[in-house]
Amino acid sequence: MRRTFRQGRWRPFVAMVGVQTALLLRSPLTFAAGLLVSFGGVLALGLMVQMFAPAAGAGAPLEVWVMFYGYLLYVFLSDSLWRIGFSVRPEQIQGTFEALQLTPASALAGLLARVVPLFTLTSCGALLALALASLIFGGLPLHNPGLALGILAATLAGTLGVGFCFAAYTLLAGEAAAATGNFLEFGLLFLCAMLFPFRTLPGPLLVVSRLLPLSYGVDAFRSALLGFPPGYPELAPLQTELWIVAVFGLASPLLGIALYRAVILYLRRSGRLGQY
Amino acid sequence: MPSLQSSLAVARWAAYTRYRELAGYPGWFLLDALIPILLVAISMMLGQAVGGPLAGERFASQAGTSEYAAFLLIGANVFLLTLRAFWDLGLWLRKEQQTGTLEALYVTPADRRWLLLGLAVFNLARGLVNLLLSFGAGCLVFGINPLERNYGLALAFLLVGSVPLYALSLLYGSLVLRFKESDALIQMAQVVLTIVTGVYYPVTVLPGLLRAAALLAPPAWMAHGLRAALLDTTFLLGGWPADLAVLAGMALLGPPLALAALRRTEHSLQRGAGMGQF
Repeated sequence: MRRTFRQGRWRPFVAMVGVQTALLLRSPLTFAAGLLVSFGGVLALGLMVQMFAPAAGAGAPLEVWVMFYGYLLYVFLSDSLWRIGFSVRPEQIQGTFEALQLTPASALAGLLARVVPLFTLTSCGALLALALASLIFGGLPLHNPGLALGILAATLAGTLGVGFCFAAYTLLAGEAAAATGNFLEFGLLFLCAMLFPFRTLPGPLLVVSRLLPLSYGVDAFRSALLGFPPGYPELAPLQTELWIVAVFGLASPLLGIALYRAVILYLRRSGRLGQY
Repeated sequence: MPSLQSSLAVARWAAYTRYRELAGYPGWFLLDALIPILLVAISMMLGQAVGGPLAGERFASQAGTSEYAAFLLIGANVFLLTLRAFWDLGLWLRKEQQTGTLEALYVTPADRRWLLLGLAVFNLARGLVNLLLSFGAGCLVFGINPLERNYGLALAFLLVGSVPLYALSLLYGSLVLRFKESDALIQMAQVVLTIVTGVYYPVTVLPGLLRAAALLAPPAWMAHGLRAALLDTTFLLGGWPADLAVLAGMALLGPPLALAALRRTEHSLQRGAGMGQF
């Protein structure tokens, strides 16, 4: 009975992951875009940094890697917001969202199923970007890979939670969610100092930054990979940051899932599931 | 043969419809003014962290001006104007396709070129207002002195460059109709435009092949021309008449080429399952 229950829960999920993977691979453009975004972003930012960097031969300044590792997290955040959170919107418009809610599969499974192929593709893009950054600047610092991977996993779980919350919001807000998504994306990019050190943020903004758990994920992740140079981590002692990141990684997806379920229930009860 | 008056009415109504659609989402107007400022703030913070007290000096050695906040602000605004042009035509076509109204538009007796013109003019006006707001706000935030700049020449670059810019966005719209992958194409366009427009740097610092690609893109000439006019940096071909002539050439060639590409895509789609398939 227990085995049957598990199979009953997992099989639709595995099938949905298969569908999402097929959708991703079926379109060469989506696949190429997934790989190229990190690559192109790093190239543009790399060229920008060279406008301010010391003359050639002096070696890449530490801030280059601060920017680069922060950018990797930003790409995953962007994926969570748009390709997971906002992705319910096209389904709403095309009319398949309501149909999916009527199948016996879990409402959440459809959302979770997008994560597996998407994050795999984004990770491949991130590895490509790593190679490019190493080629442009040379001497990629890669300290504490185990610790950094752990922090990355917890931070990604946290950003996924943000994506689920945004999916719930998108179902309620409709088209207006696109503008909100942009505010959120650029706001977090700036306030979580993903592309620059936290010390350059003006005082009041730094206070706001300290209130966002994602900031601690960004700080801990890049500090670990940089080998904890003097002044890093910037926001709090490492142990404190690790606790915050762990709680963020656990609580954010749970909150996101609860919110998404509550919104689906509300829309079903009010008969608005198919409205867009 | 429809009269000019009825064609203009088509363009006017297309613009008005788009206005009514967007008026429901005022957040976009605020966002359009805010994004360039955020882009500049992020770049400045990174630049100052990398360059320290010598940031301005190092920047000047490559860009020809130490006013890097103004340099970045112009780049970010041209980038957003370009992106907005791409979004507004490409995503509009895709949305009409998805909601099923594109096929209906294709069977009306109105000339689609006037429809597209109405949309383009409205979007351009909106883009220019946003650019003005964003530039003004950026000057306040970053302490840029907006006085004593050659605004007349800058406006000429902006207006002449807008024609090939919208032709490019029409080409992009053809791709969206053809491949039906607006999200992926938007992501790719963002990446390519960030690199070739020279948002954060002059296109002259790009390596060979990338520089050649950038010189084929109207936004690169627009951004460079605006910077040269407002910040006294050098023009790509040595003087403003030559740079403006290149943009004017693009303005002459771009629209017929883009319309031909769109017509070809339309014919190809109409021979198949039709414009309504998505």
